[in-house]
Amino acid sequence: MSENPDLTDERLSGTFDINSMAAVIYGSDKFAQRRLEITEAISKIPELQDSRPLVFMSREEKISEACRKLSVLSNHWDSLIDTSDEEEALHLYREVLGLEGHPLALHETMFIPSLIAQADNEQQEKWLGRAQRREIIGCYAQTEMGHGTNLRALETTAIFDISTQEFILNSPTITSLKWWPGALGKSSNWSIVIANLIVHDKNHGPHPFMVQLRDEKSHELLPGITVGDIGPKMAFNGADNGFLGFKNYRIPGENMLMRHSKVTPDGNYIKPPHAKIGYSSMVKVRSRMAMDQGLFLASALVIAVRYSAVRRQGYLEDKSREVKVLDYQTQQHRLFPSIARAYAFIFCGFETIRLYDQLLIDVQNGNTSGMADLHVLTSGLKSVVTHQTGEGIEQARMACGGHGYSMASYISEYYGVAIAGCTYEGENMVMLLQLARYLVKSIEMIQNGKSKELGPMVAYLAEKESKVDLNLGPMEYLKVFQYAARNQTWRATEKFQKLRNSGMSNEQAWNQASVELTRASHLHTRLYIMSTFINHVGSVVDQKVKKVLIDLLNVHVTYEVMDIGIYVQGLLSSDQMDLIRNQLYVSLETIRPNAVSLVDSFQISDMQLRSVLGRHDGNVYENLFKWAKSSPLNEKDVLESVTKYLKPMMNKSKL
Amino acid sequence: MPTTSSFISAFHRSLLIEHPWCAEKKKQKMVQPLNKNIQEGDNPDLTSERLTSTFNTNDMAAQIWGSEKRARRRREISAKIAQMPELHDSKPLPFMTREEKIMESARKLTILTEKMGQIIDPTDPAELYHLNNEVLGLEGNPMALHGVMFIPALSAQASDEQQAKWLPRALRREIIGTYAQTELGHGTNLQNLETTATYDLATQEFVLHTPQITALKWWPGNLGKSSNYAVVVAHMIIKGKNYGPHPFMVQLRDEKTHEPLPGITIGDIGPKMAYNIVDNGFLGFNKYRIPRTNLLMRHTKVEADGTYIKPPHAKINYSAMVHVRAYMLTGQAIMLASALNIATRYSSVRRQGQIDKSQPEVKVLEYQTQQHRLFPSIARAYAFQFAGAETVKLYEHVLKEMKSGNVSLMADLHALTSGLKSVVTYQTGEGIEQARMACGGHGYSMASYISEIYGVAIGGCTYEGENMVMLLQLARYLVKSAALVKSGQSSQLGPLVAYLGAKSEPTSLIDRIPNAGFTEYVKTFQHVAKRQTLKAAEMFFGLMEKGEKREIAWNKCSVELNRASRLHTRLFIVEAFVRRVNEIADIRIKEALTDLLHLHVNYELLDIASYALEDGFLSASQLDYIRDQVYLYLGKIRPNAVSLLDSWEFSDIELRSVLGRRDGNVYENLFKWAKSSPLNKTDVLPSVTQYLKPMMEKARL
Repeated sequence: MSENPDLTDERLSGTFDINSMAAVIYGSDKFAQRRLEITEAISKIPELQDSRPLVFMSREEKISEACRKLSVLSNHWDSLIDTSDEEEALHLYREVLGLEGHPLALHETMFIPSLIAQADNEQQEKWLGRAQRREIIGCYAQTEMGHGTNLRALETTAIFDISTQEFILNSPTITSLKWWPGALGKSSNWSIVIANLIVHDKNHGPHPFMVQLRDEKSHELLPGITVGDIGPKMAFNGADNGFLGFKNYRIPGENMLMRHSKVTPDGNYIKPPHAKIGYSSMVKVRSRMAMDQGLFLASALVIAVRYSAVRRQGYLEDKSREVKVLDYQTQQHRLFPSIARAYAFIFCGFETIRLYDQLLIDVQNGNTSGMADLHVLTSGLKSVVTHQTGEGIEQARMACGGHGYSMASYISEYYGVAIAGCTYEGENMVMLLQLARYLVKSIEMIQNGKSKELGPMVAYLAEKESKVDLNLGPMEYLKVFQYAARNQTWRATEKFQKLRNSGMSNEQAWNQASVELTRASHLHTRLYIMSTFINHVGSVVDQKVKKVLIDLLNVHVTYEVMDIGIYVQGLLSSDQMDLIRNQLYVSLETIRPNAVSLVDSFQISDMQLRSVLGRHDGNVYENLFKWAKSSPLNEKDVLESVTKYLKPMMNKSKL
Repeated sequence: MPTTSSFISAFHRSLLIEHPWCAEKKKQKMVQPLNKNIQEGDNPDLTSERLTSTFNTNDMAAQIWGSEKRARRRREISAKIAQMPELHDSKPLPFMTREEKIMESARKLTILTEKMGQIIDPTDPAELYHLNNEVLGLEGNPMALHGVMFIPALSAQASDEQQAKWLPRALRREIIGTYAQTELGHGTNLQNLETTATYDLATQEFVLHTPQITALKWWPGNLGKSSNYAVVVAHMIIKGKNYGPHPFMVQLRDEKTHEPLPGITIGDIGPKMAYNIVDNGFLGFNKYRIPRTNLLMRHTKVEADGTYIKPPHAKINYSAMVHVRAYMLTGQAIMLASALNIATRYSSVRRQGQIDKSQPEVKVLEYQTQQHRLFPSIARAYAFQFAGAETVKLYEHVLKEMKSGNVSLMADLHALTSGLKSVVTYQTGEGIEQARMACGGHGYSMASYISEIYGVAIGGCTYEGENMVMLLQLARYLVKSAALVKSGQSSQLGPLVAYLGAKSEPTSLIDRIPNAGFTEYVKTFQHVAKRQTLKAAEMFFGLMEKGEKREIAWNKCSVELNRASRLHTRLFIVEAFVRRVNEIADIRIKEALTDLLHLHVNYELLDIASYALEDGFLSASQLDYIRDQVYLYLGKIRPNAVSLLDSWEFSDIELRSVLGRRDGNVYENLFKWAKSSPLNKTDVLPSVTQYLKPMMEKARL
């Protein structure tokens, strides 16, 4: 079937080449190109397609479907991607397996990396090859039912028994059950387990152990182990998040991962040479998250923007034909600022990873200070990006009206998966307070006359405010954000200090100031996002692409400043606020002809999008009907609920 | 029964039977705790919260549910249901497929059809509502539309003769019906529906037809699988003339076999974000014939020869919409309060981190960030409930006025309820999600059930009028009012918008007048709403003067207009809350609600402060004052937090949440719940046997 002309019109009004834009989004021409090639190659292998829409499947069916594809993939791996390229692999997974999780997700992203980072050479020899060949399937079990964020409160114990040279694992209470680890419930037969190491009655704190959970042949549970799935979740239901309990479960002494700390056969505990917190993996994961979240947001917007160009409702000037809902200012205001954010988040993800790679070199040269700075920045980034992504996805869904609520839109699944990011990898409030700690320290440096020692990302905290001339472009808006972030950081810090000076303990004062502190972190992070966006656009070469990105940037800066209006009083006059407001509405109109092209540029295939509303060809209605007809309840005309209950009820009434 | 001794309500009596020690304990205790939810065996962390309550939760329930009697009846109904195991979920709903959920719901419906009279007074809609919430839950049921749309549509639109024919059958549940209006391609805009009903003079029949795919009826609840009849809205065409959308009574399925009748295409529209117990359906007609007399003829008539008789007065019937939207507020308030109930109880049981390093981990409810996430939403839940009650009263008043010929008030109220529906659904969704995230990882599990509550509640942003469209409806009314102000006719403003024409002071007096109560806050909200309304209206008038077409000008102002609508609505909510608190006699209740109201006005004002800062109505120092007030009242509410939610008196049966259990015994029950979940029926899943095991074995070769 040919493309819906309403969408074709939109594409014809685009002012730039979407392939060039894709190269900007994905960081290089080459990778943008590779994405398309991989998608093309996958589309030719029917066994890699969803055998039916995932949303029609039960959890068990979803998990089976994912396993089926994983086993097919093992035959095509090398022909589809360069297996040494992480980005290509991620793209392949997104296309084939989707976003709802799968039974090997943790094997690749946590189990193997942990073996590499924490097992010593001998141990790696023993396990790493088996893991990489997938002779065994593993996961990483840390979080417990009663303990998440606070690692030191974990309860699982591993007691060293010198007589047998074994560790005895125990779950002393119900709250000590391992709870949440992905793929733990049903799929993994091995796991790295974090437990308190106890030697000679002395607790040395949490350490990693390599633990076999299930028989390698029968896959049945080993005696002393309780394992199962933790039940259905809001989303991610293709993953078997699990629980795990130990009852005097013995593992060999050599199963403690000993790259860093060691326990000798006679029960001597040898500390790692330097007990540094491994910031760097967290930094990478959180930067990655900014990018992933940006893509979730982008996907929801692809769906909503395309659908809004196809859905017609109501009239504006022309009374002969209903208008596209995308022509309503309210609809544009719902969607376009989020498009800008999706671009900003992806750019931020790339930029932060680049910073990370740079700092990694510094770390190798012994300079670790920068990494700590970046670590707190990514804490804030993770928090702001996940929050705004969730907000933007839900607005995209609601912009699709009733059909957005149908699983045919698939947006609610994007929401469910994305919003989890507010909680995992560090709960957002905790993350913001981590960043706040750094901001407060920075203010204290300024107070102590050490402004010169401030890192580049917080130098603005010591600067004086200057007048802004909004006509001079986006950089002036950056000054507005600096003003807001600086004021709020000072305000929050001073509140904290005042409380502390009034006799409260440090922790109490911190708690009493914490809402204001999280607000400072928010503003600081949003400032970083905006400045990264501005810098990135500045570096774009293709003039047509640059032009439209500047338009998008104008949406961004005006929208974001309006959004923080409460913090800019004293800097901006009422007239300036009106000017920004009008600029925002003008910029929405400017973006309008490029809206579909801006989301097309993400080049997310129909297969990956999994949305009837978001189809590239815009033929929504006939496919929605087809989709509904094939949904599970329509397998028979008369449901059992009718035969068994409703019909007898009606019949009885007729007597 | 006097409220002070209502500790031994029927509900608690039923529990005392199981727990004799509870009566024992009662004798021993000198002072009765004011919170009536304490029982032996409860998690002590939750009991200690309840012991700090400064008010009687039964008395607060009477405030929430409108009267002592209503609150007591709720408890009695819950107690009866608790004793009827056949009305309980046979297993947790999140463990069921859609088909199983529908089965389960149909099972309970047939029991209720027989036993309803023993549990409630079936003529009392509030009791029926409570019964449904308890037994069937919030995910819908296979006969949801039968009661709330089909029967009311027959009552309102069928002639007496037609009613005699169909209404008793519907009431006895001989037939199950629904109401089919929305189409695949057409929602909000009724005039654009495409389904046709063409009159065939020769056979005196209407021929129903679905001319193209976008004309398929789409979304009506229970249309897909459960109903055998529907009131269908279609364009009536007689002798080539289109008379616009009209309602027809249409049989869809054979009454004996339940098979679809020839000429009818019908089915379920597939899974949704939530509400998955409802079989929302699609419906297409292929020249399907029904008798002429199936046009619902209370208002319009078509005679055998095709003569069309117009209704006496073709006025828009706001009344039904106003009614539905007024009741939506209560429904949303209940969902918000449910989510908060779960999150607040769990937050007093969950311990994490330390504030004082020498002490054990603290309840997460001690963190200011957690309080800030939850408490302002508690205030909103109360505010929505009170605003809802006031709107229903207003509605009843307006209905009376209408009977005496005064119809203008209904338009005012209609505009207000459009705004309320929109603001309340939005803020409810926001509050529920914050409540879920406040539960950390476990909030994400279906064991919390909060995500289901969210899915159902957020549906309200779209159904019964999409929120943006609703806000613009209200804006139309506001702009009209602004035009009156502009032309010096302020005296003609309706009571709900009179403030638009009133003089206001140049600056706010918040923090300038000691013990000013809430007056200065209300004035500040009024100032802000007025300023934005007049500004947005001025923007619209200005564009019109520049020669823009009306629709274009309107569209260009619509974001600003919506902002005005939101502020106007939020002003009404604040005022309704203030009015309610002023009415309360009970000192303890009044004190607790006054604290909550303080939090509300300060939090809401801070949220919209940029409007008041822009023109200098609020100063920076006043803003600091408002901030401090927010934190002050978070602290004041802390000891009453659990009790403020206990007061809604949701039973565990209704809450359906492991995290939100009344007894606070979360962890052991979470484990029990997980162990009984579907994936744990077998130790080794087929996915492992079929795919993963062979994969591993192959690798080992």
